[in-house]
Amino acid sequence: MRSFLSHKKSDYFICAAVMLLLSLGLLSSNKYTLDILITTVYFCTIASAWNIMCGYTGQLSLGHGAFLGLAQYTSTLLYTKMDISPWLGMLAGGLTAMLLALLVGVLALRLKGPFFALATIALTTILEIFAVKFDGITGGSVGITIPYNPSLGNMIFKDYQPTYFLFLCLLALVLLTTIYISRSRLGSNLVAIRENDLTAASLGINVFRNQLYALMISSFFTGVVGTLYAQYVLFIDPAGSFSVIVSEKAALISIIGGAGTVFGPLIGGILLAPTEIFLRTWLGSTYQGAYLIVYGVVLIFVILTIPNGIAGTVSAYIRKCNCKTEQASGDD
Amino acid sequence: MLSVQNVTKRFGGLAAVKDVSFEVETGSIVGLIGPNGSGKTTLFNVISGVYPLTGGTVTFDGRDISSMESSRVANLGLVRTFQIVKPFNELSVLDNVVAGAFQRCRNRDEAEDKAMVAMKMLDLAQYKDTLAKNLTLAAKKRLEIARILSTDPKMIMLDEVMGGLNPQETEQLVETVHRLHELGITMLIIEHKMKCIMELSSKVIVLNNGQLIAMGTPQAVVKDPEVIKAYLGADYNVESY
Repeated sequence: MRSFLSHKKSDYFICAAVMLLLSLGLLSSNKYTLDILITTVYFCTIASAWNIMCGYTGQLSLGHGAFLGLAQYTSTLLYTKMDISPWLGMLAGGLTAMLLALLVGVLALRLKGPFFALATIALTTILEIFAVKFDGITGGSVGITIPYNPSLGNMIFKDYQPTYFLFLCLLALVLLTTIYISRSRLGSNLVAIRENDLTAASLGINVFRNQLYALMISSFFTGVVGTLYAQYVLFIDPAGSFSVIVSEKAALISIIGGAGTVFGPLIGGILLAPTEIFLRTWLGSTYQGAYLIVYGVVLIFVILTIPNGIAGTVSAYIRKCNCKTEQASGDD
Repeated sequence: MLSVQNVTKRFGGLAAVKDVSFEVETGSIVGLIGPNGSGKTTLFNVISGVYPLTGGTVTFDGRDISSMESSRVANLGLVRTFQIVKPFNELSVLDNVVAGAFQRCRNRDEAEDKAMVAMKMLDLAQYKDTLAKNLTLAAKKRLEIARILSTDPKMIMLDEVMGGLNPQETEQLVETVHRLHELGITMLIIEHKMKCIMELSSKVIVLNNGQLIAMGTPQAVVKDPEVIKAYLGADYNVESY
């Protein structure tokens, strides 16, 4: 009981400390530094949102790009065609993504393991084709450029700090939600499903419904962060929005950082996103795409050496130490 | 409490359970015995909703549960353990039991308290932070019971929880089962250890080749010539575990 309380407190404490550390970036006015920070926090947030569904239930989605893209198109079209503020568009985008998750979940959550992963990839690809073919609405492969009209109402800013601040708020929100879920009945159910769905069902857990809830929460946050990113780069196109690569990155970052832990995706994002930017600038000019090879090697290395990811391995190590000290004090 | 009427389960052409009918009265302990492959575990799976049944009806507590999913059956208060233990390996013992307790609790504090009560009853309190995969078989079997106990069941079905335990562990578990029974939990028990069945159950059902071949008090059943022929053997002796 006491350990649970302290555990809960320590999660909130770590969350606050990390957010404080990241918000030091607000002091900088260097656009290059801020761009790196924004991209990092963007990927941390996507990965954390992915983790709510996939890390906790163990279902591998490689199609979170579908939710991301749909939300981006929703908010961008609302803004460019109907002049509805991106602040509302952000919410609308999140809700549309959630609705898509409901539809897809009802169909695809009957599948498990690789079959579910394949279904999610298919979903992303289908939506990408839709976005290309319905060019009357979506602008087709050319994409949509969001006009640069800086104002708070348009969620477009001259400087990068306000955007960065918004990303930080969203990351904090996703992390707090994750902490809350991890201590709630939903979290307990999801982890039970991950460990053994047959046993989970035998205890009275509705496997399908719990996974559906998780997928909807996860896709909502994925959608919201997607719209925020669209307002930052001011451009969307089918290949960039419904990207299998972005979906895979969400999965990779979480797996390397530690899927199914609160802070795994955060650790993964903070390590990988800047590394990728660095590798791309360093290798990109001479060998195009070489950074992806390095990325692949890192992934293989992590899966071979620490399959539970960084956060999973660290927490197992801490548990071991705790057991040892408890035993030692018991011997006294 | 539980009524099984003409239940049949076929896998393709093979009838694993054929036209089985019996009742489990509220507050009783019923033993289910029979040779390997006689359909005992299949019957459990059919009752608990893991497999859909081919024919017949199952009613629990006045409700028809014949075509209910296993999670719904469990919500009604009928839960079971698995013959091959299925702990949530990567979770601590406490979290394993909390997963069950959460089915009746809103918040985590409440769920943990409920889980601790169940764990104390099964002598697991000292392992609360141990990962389930690191437990001994005996403790894993107790964990299975603690986990279903924390869901506040009306009736539990135990699938060979004594299997693979040494005589001392078995005796302790028999005592625990007695204590659970005193709490008012109805039970249906599959067991190969005849001494446990004789000690615990008020009624015994015998399956052979998917068919019910005998039903009655344990003393009567062990004298039944058909049961002796199909299962117990001529040199049967109740006293050994």
